[in-house]
Amino acid sequence: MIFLALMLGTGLTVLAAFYDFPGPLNAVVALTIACLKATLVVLYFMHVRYSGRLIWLVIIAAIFWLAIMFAITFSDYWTRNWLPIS
Amino acid sequence: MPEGLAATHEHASHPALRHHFENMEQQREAGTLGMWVFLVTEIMFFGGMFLAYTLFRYEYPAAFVSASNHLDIKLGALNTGVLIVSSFTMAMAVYSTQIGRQKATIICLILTMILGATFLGVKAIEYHDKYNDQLIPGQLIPWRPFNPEVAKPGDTDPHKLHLIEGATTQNVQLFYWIYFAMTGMHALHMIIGLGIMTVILIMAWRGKFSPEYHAPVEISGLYWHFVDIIWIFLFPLLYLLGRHLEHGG
Repeated sequence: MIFLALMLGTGLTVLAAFYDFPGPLNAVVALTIACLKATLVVLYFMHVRYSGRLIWLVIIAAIFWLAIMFAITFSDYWTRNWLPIS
Repeated sequence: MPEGLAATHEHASHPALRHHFENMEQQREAGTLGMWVFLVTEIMFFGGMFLAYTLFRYEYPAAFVSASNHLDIKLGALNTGVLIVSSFTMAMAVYSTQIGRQKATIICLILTMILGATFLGVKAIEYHDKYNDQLIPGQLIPWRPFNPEVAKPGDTDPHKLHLIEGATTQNVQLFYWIYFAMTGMHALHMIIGLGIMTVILIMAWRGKFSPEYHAPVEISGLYWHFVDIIWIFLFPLLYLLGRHLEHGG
């Protein structure tokens, strides 16, 4: 059963996150591992790998809407000091 | 998914087949789609909170690192493991219904629920620790407002707040607002998940599921896996922010 392999893999990656890298790499590594784990859960535990295109479309829509929510909000907050306060 | 609409079998319909569906397969697909659309709304709901976390984390990095280091990483990691195993037992429960093994289904469902309750228990311990250290933000607990003891340099008391350069207590409180909002909402979803599992367990006990009809187990499994995924993202963001600073860095 591939499930056992997945479970062990995710367990190990939790441990891997303990070995820290200095600097901003930390967040990148942690989030990458989290995304990989989530992808495995979605594809295999939630059977999305074997699901029809409509389910795929719904998931891609969620990612799309998350992306624009994050992108547009960041574009506001992170450009606030680009212009001088008049 | 051609078999959904094109298949027309002439046989006595399954007792669980609702009249507005052509066949069991279409009913199952509709149910699955419905749960996925609901999960998308949940993704956006938690997404908003993740967005708030990201904005404030970059606004007050020192405070967030200090506050994150105060969380118990062992309990957080334990909870992560517990939830991943519970997702595994949930997947096994779904698999057991697909092959018609009622006893295995019931055992897997009970294991999933025990693990879910374990997660909530560990969370309760963590929340109690925060209560003791007076880290529950604002006046959420009216008789114990946010008022942590800040450690002086050289003091290694784990119950005191160790602020790194540039962190203020006010911004640490902001971290704890987000911490309690996100983990609290997540815990609420766990509790609801346990309720759903109770219903599914009772249905399984009564022999309602079979290889032909196990959609409720699958769909509840989707909800459970989703709650696990939220935690998979919560754990590194809340607990693992500044650990590299702890190791003598």
